[in-house]
Amino acid sequence: MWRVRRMWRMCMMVSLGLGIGWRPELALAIERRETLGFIEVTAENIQLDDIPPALTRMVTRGVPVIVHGLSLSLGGAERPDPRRLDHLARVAERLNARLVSEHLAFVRADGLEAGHLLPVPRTREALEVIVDNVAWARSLLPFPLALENIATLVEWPGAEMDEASFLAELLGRTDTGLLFDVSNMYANARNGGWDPVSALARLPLDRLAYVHVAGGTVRDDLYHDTHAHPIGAGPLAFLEELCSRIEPPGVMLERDDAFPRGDELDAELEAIQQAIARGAARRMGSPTP
Amino acid sequence: MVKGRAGDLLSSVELSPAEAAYLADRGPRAIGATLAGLAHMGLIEFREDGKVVPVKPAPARLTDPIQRSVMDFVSTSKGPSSVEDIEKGAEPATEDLRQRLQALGLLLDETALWLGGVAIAGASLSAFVALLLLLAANGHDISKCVLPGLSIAVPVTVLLVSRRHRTRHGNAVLKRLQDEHVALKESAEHAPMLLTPTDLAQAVAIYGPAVLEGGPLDDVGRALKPKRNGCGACGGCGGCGGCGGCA
Repeated sequence: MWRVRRMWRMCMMVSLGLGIGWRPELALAIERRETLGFIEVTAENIQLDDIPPALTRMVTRGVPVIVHGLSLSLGGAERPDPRRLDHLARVAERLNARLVSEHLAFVRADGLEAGHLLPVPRTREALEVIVDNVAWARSLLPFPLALENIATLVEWPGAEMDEASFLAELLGRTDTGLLFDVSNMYANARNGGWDPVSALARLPLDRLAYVHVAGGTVRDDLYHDTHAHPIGAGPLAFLEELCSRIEPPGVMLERDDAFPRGDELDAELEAIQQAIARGAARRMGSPTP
Repeated sequence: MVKGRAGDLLSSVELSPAEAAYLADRGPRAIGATLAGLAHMGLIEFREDGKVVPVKPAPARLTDPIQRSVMDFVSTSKGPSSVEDIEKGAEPATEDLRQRLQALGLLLDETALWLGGVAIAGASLSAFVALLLLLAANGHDISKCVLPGLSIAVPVTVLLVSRRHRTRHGNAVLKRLQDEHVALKESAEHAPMLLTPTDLAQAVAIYGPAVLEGGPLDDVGRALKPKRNGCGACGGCGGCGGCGGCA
């Protein structure tokens, strides 16, 4: 355990910079961005006997890789499937990853696959189950693990804690870092009618591993975190707020559909960079750039 | 567009899409890559039957001789043009490519091609005669072997001779291009519409039109697929699992 804790601390100390989720559609645009700090690879999209050569090339080039899971179902009533954990670990090993991450969500129950990330009940009882699941997953994963907050349009009744407090409690009881998705929290706050900025004060930002940011759209007065639209002013302003409190080790763009051309992608990354810079300027008390 | 010379060929030669295409598979590939680029620019369109029609006149900025030749051909055709007709019509424009690539030492010259062909045919014939002599020495009736043997040996020899056009350096440069552009291949397979026309042409040049098959530009990939050696009726040798069943 002490080795894992040391790896985790070392991982936190290294600045990742600006990154992007690696997708085959964006392979060329990603490869041509020489200043890219890191890439995130979705484990479920990788077959160990058929790793895309373009991805291997990025690894060979020395671009840091984080492996991201979608299907561990750490928030489920059942323990995560050991085969999925094994796949996650093997992908991380093959890609020389420094960190793996998963969602605080469940995706299956009693053999039924939801095909979607579902929110966990924010109760003490659920927390006990998740703490146990995470501890078990950690025991099988030879890599530091970060947990991500999800976007959701539904809530379980009887919540005993708000989202930020639940995350803080969970991270406090597990040897994990925080993958903070600013767009997810922005979406939940906007749709739920609460203030995301005040929630930042309750988050364990000292455990921040890296940050996700993505675009979304408003339909029927609900904000949808689509990963298929340019990043709007809301998530960028929230990212700036975060960066005015702490320097995130890494911030990355998630894009999963309606992929932009190279110049549009550059503009998206530039907008993220500027939000980080504005936040940093506020943090250091210098004039906003 | 050729920037390097034969000093350190592997690391210094940079080829335009048309040059890379010619290196990979001669004139038809160069024209195929050009067609893919022109379609991506919106200047031509592939119809459902695989034929090509012009959409817009060639702009003045289009100075590449192969692009111009292809545009001239499709614009002056009375109706939609087949890819084969365009290949025939625009092939003379690829002659410069051949000469440049030969000058770089990437393609075999006529003498080397001829000598190589004779060597392959000679080796093939010698092996065949040796086999017959061996069979005769062991008491077999070789009269029944000659015809089936020739029916295998001759096409194989013709194929070996006709497919050979690159030098060792040419093979190495092509391999380097294929290794270096794996990200281009990945993006061309999954999202070719995001690529620039030059990138798209480069992907077709280096990896062939198959790189577009199964994706959003599947119709272009299929139309450009080579139809070789009498396999035209089935859409080419690659797609039907070989010439044996459809010739």
